[in-house]
Amino acid sequence: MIRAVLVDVLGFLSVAILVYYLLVNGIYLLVYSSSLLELRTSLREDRWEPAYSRFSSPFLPEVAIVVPAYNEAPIIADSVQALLDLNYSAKEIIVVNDGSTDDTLDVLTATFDLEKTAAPVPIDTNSERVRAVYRAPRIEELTVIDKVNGGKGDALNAGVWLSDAPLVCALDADSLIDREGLLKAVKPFLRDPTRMVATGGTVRVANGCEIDDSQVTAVTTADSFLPGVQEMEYLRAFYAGRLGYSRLEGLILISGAFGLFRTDLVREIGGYNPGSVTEDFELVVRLHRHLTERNIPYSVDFVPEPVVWTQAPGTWGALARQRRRWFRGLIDTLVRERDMIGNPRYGRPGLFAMPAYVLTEVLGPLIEGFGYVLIPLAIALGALDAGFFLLFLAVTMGFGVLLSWFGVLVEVWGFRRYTEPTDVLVLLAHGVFENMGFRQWKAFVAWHGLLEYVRGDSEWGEMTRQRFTASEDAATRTDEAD
Amino acid sequence: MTPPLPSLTTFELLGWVLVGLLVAVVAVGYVAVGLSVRGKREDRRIEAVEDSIRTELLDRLGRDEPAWGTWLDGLSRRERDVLETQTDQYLRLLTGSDRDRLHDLATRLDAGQRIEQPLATGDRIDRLGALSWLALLDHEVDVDRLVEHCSDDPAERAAVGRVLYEHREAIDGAASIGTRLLTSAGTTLPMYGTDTLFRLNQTDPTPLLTTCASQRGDWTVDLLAQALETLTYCDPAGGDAPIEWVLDCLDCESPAVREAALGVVGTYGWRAELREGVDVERAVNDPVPSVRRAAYREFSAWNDETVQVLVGAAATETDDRARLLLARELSGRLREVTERLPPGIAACLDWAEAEEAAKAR
Amino acid sequence: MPPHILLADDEVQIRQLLEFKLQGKGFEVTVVDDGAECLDHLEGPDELPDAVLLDVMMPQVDGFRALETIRDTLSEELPVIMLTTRSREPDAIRGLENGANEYIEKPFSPDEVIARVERHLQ
Repeated sequence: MIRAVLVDVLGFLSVAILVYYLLVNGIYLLVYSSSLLELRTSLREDRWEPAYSRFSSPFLPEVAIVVPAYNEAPIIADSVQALLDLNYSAKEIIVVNDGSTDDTLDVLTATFDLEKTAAPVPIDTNSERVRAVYRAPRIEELTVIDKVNGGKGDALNAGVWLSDAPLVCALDADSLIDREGLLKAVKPFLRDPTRMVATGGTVRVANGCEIDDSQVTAVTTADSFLPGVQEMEYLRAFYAGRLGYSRLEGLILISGAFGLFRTDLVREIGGYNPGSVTEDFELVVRLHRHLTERNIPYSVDFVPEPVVWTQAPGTWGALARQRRRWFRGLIDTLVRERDMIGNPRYGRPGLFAMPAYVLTEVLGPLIEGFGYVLIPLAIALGALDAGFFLLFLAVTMGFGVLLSWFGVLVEVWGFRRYTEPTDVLVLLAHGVFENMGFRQWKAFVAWHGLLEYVRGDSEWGEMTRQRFTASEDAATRTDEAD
Repeated sequence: MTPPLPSLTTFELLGWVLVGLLVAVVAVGYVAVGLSVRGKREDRRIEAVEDSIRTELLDRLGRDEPAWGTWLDGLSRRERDVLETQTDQYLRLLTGSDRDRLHDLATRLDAGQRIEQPLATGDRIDRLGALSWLALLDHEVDVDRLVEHCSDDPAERAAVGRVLYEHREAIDGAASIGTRLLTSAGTTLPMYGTDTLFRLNQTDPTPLLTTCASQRGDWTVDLLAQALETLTYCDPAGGDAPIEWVLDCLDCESPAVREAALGVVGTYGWRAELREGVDVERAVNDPVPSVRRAAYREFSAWNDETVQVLVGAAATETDDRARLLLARELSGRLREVTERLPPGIAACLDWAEAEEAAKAR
Repeated sequence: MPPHILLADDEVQIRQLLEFKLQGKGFEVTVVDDGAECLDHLEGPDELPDAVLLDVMMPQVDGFRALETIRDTLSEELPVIMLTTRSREPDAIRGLENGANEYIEKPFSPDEVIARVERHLQ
């Protein structure tokens, strides 16, 4: 009797999972074909260069680059120098020392001859207390804010509130930004100055690259497996994911590693939420909410050119920690903004992008993990045919590989930063491993993240004061695989 | 008990899906690797000729008689493409006699012919590319034809405006035609458009002032704000250009327009009809902080009477950014006038002075 | 001995063009592609060049900072000609205040650059 019920339940669940897979893969197909269209448009648009010098125009918007720094002493001087070197004539660099316990501030002071402004900041910075503001007399573009620790979102807020620039760029201290990257990310704002509210750049993995003066000078694949497979993962997430969401006017995630926003709007919605562990995702979702609720026409664009390079975690432990945090943050934001999900009032983000995220990013890895436990059980109990399951597994993995390889194709077709064909072969191989092994591991990590989220609900106090550490934030968010 | 075998059709279907997927995967992989190999080969071929082409180009550029024709006849397709790219780069970098010689070269290259063809075709990107070349070259310009074929889209209007600007010496009324064209749709301009509008009006904004005076009713507030901002960057126009209309903009519903209009009031403060028509009190009491900030910025350079109004406003200002701006603009005068400053403004003044002191060191 | 010019610019087209033109006029030219290299060269064991052509927007050390270092520590007389794509007034003022001899905006005429270099060599 019990066995019969169990068989029925398992049989039903198997069908449910099958239906779910069809739905999710339908979404992927839609997003990926949109990516292709978007890439084609973007590459065509790039063939044309206006006959004027942007840098000598009085209309070039000033950009404040805000770099939160918590215990970044070893890298901070090089990072700041790389930002000063950016090819963009109207920029301001605001480093926010978020109560570091190492000598981040001393390193900055010594390297750039900083001088303390001898008065308390007279404006409300919407953050923990600002201890002092430092300026570099010989480098007008540079400002350093020294404040009490409040987490990454809080540090970003201090910079956003102190700046007078119309655009603000949030950047991780250890991201390597392409010298032309800022201009590329600003271009959508130049094309459509009144409607554009945010742009996000493509983030790539720097682990295998040659780096000189904080600039990526030669792009090759990483030597070891874990960064290598993440390299592949980022290509897929950005080129087969966000590029398509952007085409569908539903881009709801801009990486914390590099995002450009209209300053007044970020202030209007209260800035970053210091209590969120994925403040980047949270901010963009709230931006969509704010603008759609007020019926303000707007645009959020994705910049397909590689703009920023990040160091991917090199150990399974660090990577698992990072991904659990992303997963927690994802659920947290979606739960908080749940009334937007599926709600036509919130336009494409509400009607399409957020439900798609719930299905693919949240439920995807959870259901997959569930399936890996459930299906062998079903086979053992005779509720499911083993041959059928293997075939089904082959199809899902085949589809996964197709999507991964598609990311590689976009890179080669559009950008060809990996100049050697052998590197392309390595990427393709990683595309196979990503779907056989890595993805299954991520399903397990997602369940662990869910567990943490549920536990964290009762320990909210700890969550609100989440510090960000160099190792965990070394990489940016990518969309989770399936 | 045998497991409930899914019907054969489902099985078969999955099998076919798998086959289809494998074909697609192989195809994607093949194309990716193929493109990579082909791209690398092409890179190498271009690299091989780049240096020699550049050396030859620079050498001939230095001669009085570059004899482009004889050189071009001996070049391969790829070499001509490389040369075209380099010519485009140098055209954007150079002025003077070198640029004149480059004009001659560009006209002989395919670029010269490409300018002609695409204007009539339906492809927007080709037209934009042609217009960029046209702006860089001293080709003869048929204004009516340009306006007829290339005024559907904001980028194209900007590009035509740029051609007019670059050829302004040869075209009668280039600034007026360009200004009217750029604002004809009445909607927001891209930066290429605002910058072109600025260049056309930079030394004499009479065309822009005239167009604003008569046409602004048909524009979106965003375009009006852009036009006003443009005026603040241009040199001031002579005494007979229409300016009173700016006063109407100070009453506009859009804060962006009010803010930009205050900028123009600042630029044209020397015109009595504007100076006397401005309601300073009202501007410094605007409900929107960014408009008040613009008012403080512009009026702080005016006479003592206006400054008194600003000092009064400082006492009641609630926006901390606006207070800071007032403190920076008025600095010492604030201390002179009032003995007891409200704490908010006093803190701003301390800050502004500390900044000044740091700068002076 | 021909006059020696140090040329610092990160744009390869400009470097190659000016190097070619200057050599054509009989100058000896040393080319560097960022401000740090420019200072390294000037602070090195060799004699100071006869003039420096300095781009404003360069990696590592920008043109203004390089100029300040030259004026503060190396030479007050060394002719320095600044090249820049920026055309906003404060930049020109800053360059001239800090002791640049000339301030030339891109796009420029190479013949004019050479004429100005020659003027300062006399």
